[in-house]
Amino acid sequence: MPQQYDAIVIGAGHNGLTAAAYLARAGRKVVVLERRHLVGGAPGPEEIYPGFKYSVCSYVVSLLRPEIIRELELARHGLEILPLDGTFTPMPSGDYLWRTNDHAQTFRDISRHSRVDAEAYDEYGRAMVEMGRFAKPILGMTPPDPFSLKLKDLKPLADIANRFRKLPDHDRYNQLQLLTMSAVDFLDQWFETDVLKATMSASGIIGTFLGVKSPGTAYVLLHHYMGEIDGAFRSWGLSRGGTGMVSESIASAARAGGAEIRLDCSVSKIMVSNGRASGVVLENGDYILANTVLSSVDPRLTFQKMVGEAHLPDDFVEDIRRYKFRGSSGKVNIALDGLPDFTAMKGVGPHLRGAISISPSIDYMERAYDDAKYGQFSKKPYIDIVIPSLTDPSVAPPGKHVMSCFVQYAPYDLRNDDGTPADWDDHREAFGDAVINAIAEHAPNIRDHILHRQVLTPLDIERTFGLSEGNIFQGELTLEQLFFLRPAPGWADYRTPVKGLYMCGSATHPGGGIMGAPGRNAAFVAMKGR
Amino acid sequence: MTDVIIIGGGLNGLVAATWLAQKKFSVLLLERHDQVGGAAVTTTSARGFKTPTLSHSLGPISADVVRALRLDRAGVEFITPDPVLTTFGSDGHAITFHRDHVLTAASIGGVSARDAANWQPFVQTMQKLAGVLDAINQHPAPSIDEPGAGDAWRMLQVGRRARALGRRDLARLGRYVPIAVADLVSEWFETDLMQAAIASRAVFGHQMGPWSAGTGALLLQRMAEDPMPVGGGVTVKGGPGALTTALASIASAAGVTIRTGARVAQILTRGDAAVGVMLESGEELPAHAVVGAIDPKQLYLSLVDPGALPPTFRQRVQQIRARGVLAKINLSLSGGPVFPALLGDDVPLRGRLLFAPTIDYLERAYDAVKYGRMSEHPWIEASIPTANDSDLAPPGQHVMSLYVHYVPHSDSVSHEGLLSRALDVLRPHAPNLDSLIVEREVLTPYDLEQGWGYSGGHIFHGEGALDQWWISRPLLGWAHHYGSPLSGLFLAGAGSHPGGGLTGQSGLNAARAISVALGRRRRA
Repeated sequence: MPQQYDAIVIGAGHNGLTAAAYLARAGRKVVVLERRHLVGGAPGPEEIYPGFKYSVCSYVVSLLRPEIIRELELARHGLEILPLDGTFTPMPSGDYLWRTNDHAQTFRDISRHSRVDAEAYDEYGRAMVEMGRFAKPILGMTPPDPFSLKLKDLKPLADIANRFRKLPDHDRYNQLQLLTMSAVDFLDQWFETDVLKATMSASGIIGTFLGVKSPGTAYVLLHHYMGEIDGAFRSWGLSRGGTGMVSESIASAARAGGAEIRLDCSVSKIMVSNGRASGVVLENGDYILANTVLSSVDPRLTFQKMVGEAHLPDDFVEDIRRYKFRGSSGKVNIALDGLPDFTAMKGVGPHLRGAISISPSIDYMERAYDDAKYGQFSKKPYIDIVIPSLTDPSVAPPGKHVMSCFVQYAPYDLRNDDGTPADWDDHREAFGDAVINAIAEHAPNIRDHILHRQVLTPLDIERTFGLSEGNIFQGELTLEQLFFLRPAPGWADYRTPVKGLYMCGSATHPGGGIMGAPGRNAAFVAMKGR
Repeated sequence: MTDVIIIGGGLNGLVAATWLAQKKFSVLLLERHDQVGGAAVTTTSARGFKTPTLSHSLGPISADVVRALRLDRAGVEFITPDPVLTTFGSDGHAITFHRDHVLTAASIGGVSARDAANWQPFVQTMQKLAGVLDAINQHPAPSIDEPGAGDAWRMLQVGRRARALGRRDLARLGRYVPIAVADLVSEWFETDLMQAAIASRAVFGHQMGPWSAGTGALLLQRMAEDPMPVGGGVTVKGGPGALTTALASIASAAGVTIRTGARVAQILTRGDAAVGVMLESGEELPAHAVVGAIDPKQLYLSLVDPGALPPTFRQRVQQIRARGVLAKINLSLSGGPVFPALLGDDVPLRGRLLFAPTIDYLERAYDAVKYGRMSEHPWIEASIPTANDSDLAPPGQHVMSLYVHYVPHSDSVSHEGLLSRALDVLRPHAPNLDSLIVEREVLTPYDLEQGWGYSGGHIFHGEGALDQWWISRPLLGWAHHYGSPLSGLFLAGAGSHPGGGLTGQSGLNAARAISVALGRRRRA
């Protein structure tokens, strides 16, 4: 018996839920259809090993748009962000680099390596904040379509160009550089300390198939710098209860607005008649009707699987086929019965409460990328480690801990030594071992405390979360598929060639990274209708 | 007093000098070497082989420059080789690119019918897109602080050109500028050999690999200069030096005084104005304006007293990325090298020869230089100029010129090691080559810097990255008038817009901007 709604949202990830919450608040009758047994998408919390809540995929929050937190009253719905203080980088020499939100402590620690860099660090922070301010409105806008050559589309770009021209000279210079340089080149202009540059450049390659020396990674540095927590740009935090609480709180807000969320409900097809979306067909054969459908899953799934290329114009089909995913990351979640003891800073201390970065040098980072270019996972990977149980005891039993490791690089297209394609399932454990080995070089006791480990390869990420090729941002964040080119030229404003069908996931502007902005923007576009 | 002193008698310097002289400015051109030419020189070796010491091809010379200086009447015999290039695969296959696209498609068809079918559409599409960049190149970049009516007009022209592309190709241009060339070529071609042949053209001279973002723009830049995607390899009878020698004659005829063996040690300043130069000999030469047709870092950092330029300007010039990666090897051969893959056909030797079999090969070669090392398996573009111009060597003997990528800018690069690796690459393709070598010359990026003033040994005077291009070439805010914070001091070399390889456009653009600036000063 077909049911009728005003709007269907496919996927209960943070973007889908955000879109649903806004639609519900506007009085629309909305249903969210989620394939898995829980909400959350990539942020989802899961108790894989009894007693331990892994943030299976994403692990920190910063970029969630403040207007979304405010407008959906997420705090009331259970969202609590605990500050994640600092980044600790152990070095093979036994030395370390440790930066925190405590300005004086950070200054002192950088000074140990270079006094000049300690002073430049503040200036750099200020410059990045300025650039964040310039970029922020661009994040929030719905991209114009400059290829229409219509005034209404060219004007926003002219406005951006004008704002750019009017920036103070040094900001202008920095902004242009950020757009095209490599993270290392950009940082080289500010700093001399290798381990500092290596750690900072790491945020330029998160979720991308690029190296820290690759042109285009300086831009991604800014992307990650634009977080706001309680008004402070850039600081990252943990969500109490695990990152899954982000989605849970948005789901709660959506339900409070009247939205319905159905789990274990997999969409097989989006129904299209006469070029219009008319609803969806579920895997079990049920129909759900609606004139407005928002898909938060990526373009490959949406268009190739659910809509079908036959319903789409040739140019668009070509563009979607060309849209690049290139998953490059893996995740290792570990249940520990004790804390890692880092040779560089022994014992339990505040340095374990922040992020621990295995990024000892620029060459280390770049070599990790080189391995991936030729189809190998990094023999010595870059790892971003967080131990959320130290800040949020609710995720592990007393005295025990959860360790979340984000790893690069793990290329989706794995190859054997002879160049033939390899199967990730056969190499999952070897990958997990490489990660543990890399950590053990700095904290030899880690192996003695592992109760359980969950290794997610790009293939696992694809299978579990519907993220094609395991790309965590639903598509590479490279300039040729950003802003008005994301996911396809002419279709960057959340609309699609199918009337009434909208895209609201990270494959639209402003891209990935638990911002919620695509969901919110798409909801407003959908509400305006055609 | 001389109106304009031009430092550097390379192509851009000669073009700027000639144009300004034709506009009745009194011009003195100072060249540190004994012959003018810069990168376009022919040197006679000890055994009488006429070698293209640096560049073996020209840009080609921009049509704008040919027109402006009437180069078609200069008595220069341009050679447009045909076929233009042959690329050798590691499995014995070879593809030869001709000026005639049908012949090219036939050659590609030996490796892939699909790629053969896509050749002409690829060329046509890329030429259309490159046309927009060509429109941008032909004019000075707009001023971003005080755009004038002229700037607006020129941008409108570019806009019209872009609009004429139509929606689909305009979107393509938008994607192809920031894209990695490896992604670009894989949209058109399936074979490694085709992909690498085009990708190598994009990365030529830059510390970039085929997977580097922005190399799509570099391919478009090369095609804006030269419509052949793999390069046309235009040269001149008598070697590249014949062009610059002829240009020097035109310059002199127009009234330019050319002094060779005259190395500038310092630019003289008074207050915030450049007032002349001092040679290494101590001789002081006053002028109303000084134009550096040399590398921007050499000009602003080595020749100008640090106190004379604002610290921010200086710092930014220091930050211009110019990491040379190209080494040059010149060989004199006692006979003709034989390439068995050509099956006895000599005709392809008239064009250049490319040894860059796959994208991975290029990328691995690039990886080495990121860590300051020479590629273990370099990629090479070779030319045998005597195939088109037998007067360059004694009868039956040959000149061979090699561009080798990637070699780091370092004085500890071993010349013998480099030569050895290059010959290792060529040997499987031309087994008799080693036995023919009677003379050799190896120039690393470090040698290029020491001998010819290329900062970092970078042949284009700075990376063609998007943030060092157009309005940012040489620096944001300074691109449009070719000037600097010092009044009367200008830049006219490849480090200024549009840059590029031996087209002369930078010199011409600069000369035009300079004449306007000087004209204003005269009236003031």
